[in-house]
Amino acid sequence: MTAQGCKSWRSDLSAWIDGELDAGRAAAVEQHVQSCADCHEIVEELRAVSNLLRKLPRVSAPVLQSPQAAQRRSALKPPAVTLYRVATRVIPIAAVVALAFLAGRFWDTFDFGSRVPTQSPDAAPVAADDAFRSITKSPGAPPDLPSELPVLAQNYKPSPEVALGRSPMQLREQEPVREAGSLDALAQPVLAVFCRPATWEQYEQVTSLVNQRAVQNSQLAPMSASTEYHLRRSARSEPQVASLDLGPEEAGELLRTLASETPAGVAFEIAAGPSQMQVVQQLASGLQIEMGVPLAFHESSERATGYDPGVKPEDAPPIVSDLRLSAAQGERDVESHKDRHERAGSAPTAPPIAHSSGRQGFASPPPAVQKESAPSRTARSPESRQRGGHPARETSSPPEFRDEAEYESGKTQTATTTRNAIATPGDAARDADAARLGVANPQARVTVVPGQPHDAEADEKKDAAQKPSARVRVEITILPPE
Amino acid sequence: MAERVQKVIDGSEASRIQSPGPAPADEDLVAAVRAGDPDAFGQLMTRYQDRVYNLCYRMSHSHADALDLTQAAFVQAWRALPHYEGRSTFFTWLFRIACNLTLTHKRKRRYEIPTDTGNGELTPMHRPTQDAPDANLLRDELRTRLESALAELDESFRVAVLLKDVEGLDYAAISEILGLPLGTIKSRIHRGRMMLRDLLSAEDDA
Repeated sequence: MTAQGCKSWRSDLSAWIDGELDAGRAAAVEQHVQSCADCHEIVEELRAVSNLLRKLPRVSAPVLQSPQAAQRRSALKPPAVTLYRVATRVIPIAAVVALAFLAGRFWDTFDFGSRVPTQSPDAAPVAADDAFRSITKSPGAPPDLPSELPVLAQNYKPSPEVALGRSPMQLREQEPVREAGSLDALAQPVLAVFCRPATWEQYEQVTSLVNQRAVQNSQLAPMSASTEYHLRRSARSEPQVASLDLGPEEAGELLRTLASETPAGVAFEIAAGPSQMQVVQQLASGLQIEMGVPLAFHESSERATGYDPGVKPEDAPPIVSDLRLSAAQGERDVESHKDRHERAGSAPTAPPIAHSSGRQGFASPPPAVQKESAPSRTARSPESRQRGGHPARETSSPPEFRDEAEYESGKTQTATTTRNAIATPGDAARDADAARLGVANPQARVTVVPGQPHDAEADEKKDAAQKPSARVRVEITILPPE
Repeated sequence: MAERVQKVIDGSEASRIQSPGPAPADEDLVAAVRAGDPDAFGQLMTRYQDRVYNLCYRMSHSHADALDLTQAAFVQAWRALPHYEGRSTFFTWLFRIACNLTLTHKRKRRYEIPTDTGNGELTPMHRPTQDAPDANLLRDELRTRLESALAELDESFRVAVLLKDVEGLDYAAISEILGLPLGTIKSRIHRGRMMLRDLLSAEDDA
């Protein structure tokens, strides 16, 4: 008899020993046991075990109380404090308290009474988002990033607030700029990296990545518990911000790593004070070099308060009009101001603060800084590409403006050119500019958004055949000084 | 191993505890309790307390817990007796209460109390036979090993084996007590015995 054949019998051996099988089955088992030595041995062993169990010494009960007496005794005796008893009483109370707390937090988070979005879902996106769309749709756009990103980009969903018509730029402008201003108060150069995971999966990936890096680098602080609390608290409503402070080198390394390893839809921001401006510039350019990402510069509409103590905040010019606040424009203006004074034979002074034009953004969308494919390629303006000239040289020869109208009309164009130049990687002139801009520009915030922006569906409708973009979006937001 | 065990068993006296006696019948005593006879339930307790206590002790490995559980089982049976419908025997019903109490008690505990074999706790009911000293020694050793192996069994297998081999119940009664199908009981008893066999054989090999 094979082991496989015996297997069907062995499950019945105990029942056969106990006489629990019907007659037919019992006879069949008995016949098999007599013919199979293995099963016969098992039967003997099972019988031995069963008999041994029967011979276990009996223990007799001590004198028991009558049920009535036992009941009276148990009624007099206080119940023992056991973990089970405590748990069954504490957990419901704790659950009620937790529910009340969560309900309060939920109410605070959504603030139903005062924070109902006033803009309709059909509200037009701000210029910054239009600009980015123009960037991603402009000819000569950089090639797509690795193949896994487009798949993830398709799953990118905008936050509810974005879906309601409030662009990320609007949201950021509503946020206080405390992170940028407070950074300069720190003794050592510190960049604050903010992460905006769109989904919990992304959050887990980013958290794991950051904490892994933190283990490898002691200078890199892991995400704090409070950050995680805020993340979880508002996870239902919108992607939230995780922040960690780290040195510039670590920030750059982390940002590159995150941008390359995390899926689409995760946004990262770096808030930097004046002393870190150069780091941010290099970081942004380095990203373009390494990853072929376009750089888009967006300006805050906040006013440039704090530059001149004599100017009231309400009279301060918008930042978009202040060339000193823009990396590219500041450079252009410094150059032109210096040239003017050199020609006039006077010592250069600080570049002037541009007047308030009342505009809250560039008339034309911020230009695409095109990184076509390889690191050797550089971002150029369309004019530069046509001429074949070096984009950085355009920055070094700023135009002269005869009057304010010409200045205003040329500002945007020049800014476009110089911004492209700033984004040109590996350019010596750019590095020199960035060094100067580190002084000229008070603050900047870089946002890297891998993947498709929130109007991906609209883009797909326009061009169904085109694959979803997986470019990494980099925004530099110029912030006012504190 | 089988021959060695059988040799020990053959030398021991039969101490099989018989099923409850026919008179007075359990049903009569239950009816008497319901009629207000204060002594009837005492007779039921006297009849079954050792068996209930034995089962609780084998399950809990603690005399103190077994005493509490046995007392609690009878108190619960006394309270629930007005609702006893007689669809099963009183003994089965009582054992079901005891099993449920013991299993619930063990689930509440975070840890298992080690088997207290070999410390003399079993001696009150352990009556040595007149066999040779070597046989007694071997029997004690086997008993200790068997109880240790029994303690290693999973709760579901242990209770089935105990009800069958220690309490001598049939599969139908065990099925009723544990509230499980007959096939499950059959499987658990067989697997429990096989595990015990393996555990004892492993100790022999060691």
